[in-house]
Amino acid sequence: MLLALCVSIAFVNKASSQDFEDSVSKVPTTSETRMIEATTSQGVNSGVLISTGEWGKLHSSELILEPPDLHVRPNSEMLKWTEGTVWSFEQDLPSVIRILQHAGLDEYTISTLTSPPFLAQGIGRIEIRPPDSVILELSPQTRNMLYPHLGSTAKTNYFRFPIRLMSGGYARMSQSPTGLSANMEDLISRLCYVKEGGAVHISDIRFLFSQAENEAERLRIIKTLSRETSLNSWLDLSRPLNKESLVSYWSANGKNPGAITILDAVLESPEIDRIELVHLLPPVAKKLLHTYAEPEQGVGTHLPDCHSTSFSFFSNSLPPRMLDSVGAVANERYVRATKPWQFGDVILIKDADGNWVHACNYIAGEIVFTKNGQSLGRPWVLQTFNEVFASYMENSRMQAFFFRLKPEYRE
Amino acid sequence: MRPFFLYLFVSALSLTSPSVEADPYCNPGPWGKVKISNVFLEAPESIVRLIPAPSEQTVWRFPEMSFKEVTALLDSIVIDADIRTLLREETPLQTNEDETRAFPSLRVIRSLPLENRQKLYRFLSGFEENPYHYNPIIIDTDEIRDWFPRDRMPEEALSLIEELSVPIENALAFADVPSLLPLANSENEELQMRKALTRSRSMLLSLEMTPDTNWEELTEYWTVGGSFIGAVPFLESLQRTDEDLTVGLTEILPLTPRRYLNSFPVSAEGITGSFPNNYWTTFNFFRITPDPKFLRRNASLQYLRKYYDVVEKPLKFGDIVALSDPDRDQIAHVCNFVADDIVYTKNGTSLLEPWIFMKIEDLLSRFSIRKPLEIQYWRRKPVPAQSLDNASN
Repeated sequence: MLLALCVSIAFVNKASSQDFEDSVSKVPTTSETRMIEATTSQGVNSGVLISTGEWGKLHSSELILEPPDLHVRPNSEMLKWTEGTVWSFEQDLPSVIRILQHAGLDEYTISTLTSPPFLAQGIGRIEIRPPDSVILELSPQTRNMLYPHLGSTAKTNYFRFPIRLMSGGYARMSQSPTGLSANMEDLISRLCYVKEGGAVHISDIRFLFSQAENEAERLRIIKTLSRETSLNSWLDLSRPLNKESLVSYWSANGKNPGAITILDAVLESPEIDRIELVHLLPPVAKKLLHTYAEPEQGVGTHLPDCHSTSFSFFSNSLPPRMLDSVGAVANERYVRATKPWQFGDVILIKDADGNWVHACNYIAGEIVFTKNGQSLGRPWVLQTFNEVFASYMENSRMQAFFFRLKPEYRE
Repeated sequence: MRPFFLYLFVSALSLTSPSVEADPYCNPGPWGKVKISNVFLEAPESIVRLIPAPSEQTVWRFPEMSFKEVTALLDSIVIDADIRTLLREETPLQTNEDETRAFPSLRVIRSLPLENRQKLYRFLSGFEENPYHYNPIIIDTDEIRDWFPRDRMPEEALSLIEELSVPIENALAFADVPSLLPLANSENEELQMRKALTRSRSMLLSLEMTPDTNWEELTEYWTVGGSFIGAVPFLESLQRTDEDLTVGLTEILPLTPRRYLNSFPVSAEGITGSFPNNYWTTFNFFRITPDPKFLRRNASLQYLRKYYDVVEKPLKFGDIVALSDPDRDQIAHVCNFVADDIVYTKNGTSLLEPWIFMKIEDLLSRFSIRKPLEIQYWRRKPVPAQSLDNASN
């Protein structure tokens, strides 16, 4: 059974400013870079999380969201699973053999796979159709080593772009009934693998589909694997309260004026002892929290993703221009943030190759507002730092950077 | 002289305050256990500052009326001889090219018996030139001291509002804003008073989940029988938890109303020249991207008649509640049914009017200032598409 490896994040100060400079002064920033380190722990999955600070007393309890049928039905594997699992390589046979060896397959298995009837060679391409027994017996480490070499670079290729599971893996995802058979649940657990950084992935979707009893179960598989955690958060308004501090924090120094209206309203009513966080969010987040994107919200194939959402946090609406690129806005309007983090700060995660792999917004305590991927099957949610970072921990060399909207900008 | 349609309900005895309830829950229904928390929303200071401060001097404007006609009108309204004398002494009249203006002292205003004031204000409300009579401050309760913030409204101001407000159905209407201003001791106090006068009552609605929650019924209701699927993932996520949960109803609303609820318009929303009104708000209820054509009344009403049917209670989530003038078969206001007796509404295009939850009876009071209106309920005809979100023209 898959080791339920969870990840907690430790921020380590590290003197580095190699890629950042103030966009106005062009002077290298003195803010520290924050390296994310993975350790094994149990993440956050029990009871109510309470965080207290200048934002007040924020309570959060966990929710598990599952995408609607219409959002997962376009899944290409739902149509192609009958073709069986294909490991496709663009290398020549000796190179393929080396990849298989490096991934940890034994010589007998390699010899079997690289011979007929499992092997098919085309021009510039080699295809291996592994038997079920091989797929099942691969160790998580082998999957981790092998799958990044398989198939095309298309985003629909689950080998290169596996489904990222929530921290805690399938064991945590299936704590509430999934509608899947016990056998199928065991199978899913068996096929999960863990990246070096601790993120839990699964790639063998086509194989899972082939093992399903019917179309309904295939739908349940993809919906279950797309489960995402979120938080139902509310602010405790039990008196006494520091109204000035609350208003100042949630209004973000005027960038979120709607929070002033609603906080003024609730704080004058002593009988109101809580307010759901959604009421305090700026318009874009208030509109999108706990929903899944619709094609209509995009422009062509440009759909709302983490970057467009994060850099529109204080906007009145999600500007279509942000779907093209956030570059100009990010460079001109933001500066590196220092602690204490403020409501709406943008958190960017960079991988070891220097790619910005994710962005989200700081809310309060350990909580962020995030959309973990461009896919229509990924909702806008509230998660802890741990949750977000854990799901992006491809390796241990990930870094998180914090940015803040300059005071002269309102959005 | 323009005709006027004001119909003011004169029976102060009938004034009740059913909206101020002891029980903070909606009546039981398919919408689940919905808790109500009343809140008062005040327009942001930045918007209030945009509005020029009125003169402290009350002005009654009588368009297209001569000095003589105005004098005759006032004489016909004010019967008491002493008050009539005071009125003549302390209400200078000024006749301009196309109107006559009267400048009553506060003493005159206070001396007018309720019936006289009602009659006169009913007349004045027929003209947009009298902004505070045409759009008086509606206080949806008879407990004025519960409506305004006591820490920001001087006691004298509260007393004056109590004294000069006139009853309309289940609410009170206050039109003597200029008379209040001298009671402020500083510019900031006056600003705070003007801000307090922009109050609208709304609600925070929370959905409470218990072991007895009927999930099937709840989902059926909030998804309109599966037509609006946007709320499904969130509702399902609640069903997966073992705990008793309370969640903001906002998160079950479709995207457009949840974004606007309990907020005031901002200047960016009027960039095309028109600010969102009740039609825009109502017909975009289930739409992901608001359609600007609903800023136009005629286009909206055409759409209503083409794609909606008149229905009877019980209502469904998102049904249109329309207030109409039965004599002219004309719709005066539209909004969306939410649950029990609560609607989601935008009462006018003003920057001072937020998007709110409101009781239907309060809504009816507000829009019956000039004439009693009737309620109609409309429901979208079945849409062949899978989701109302994508309903097209």
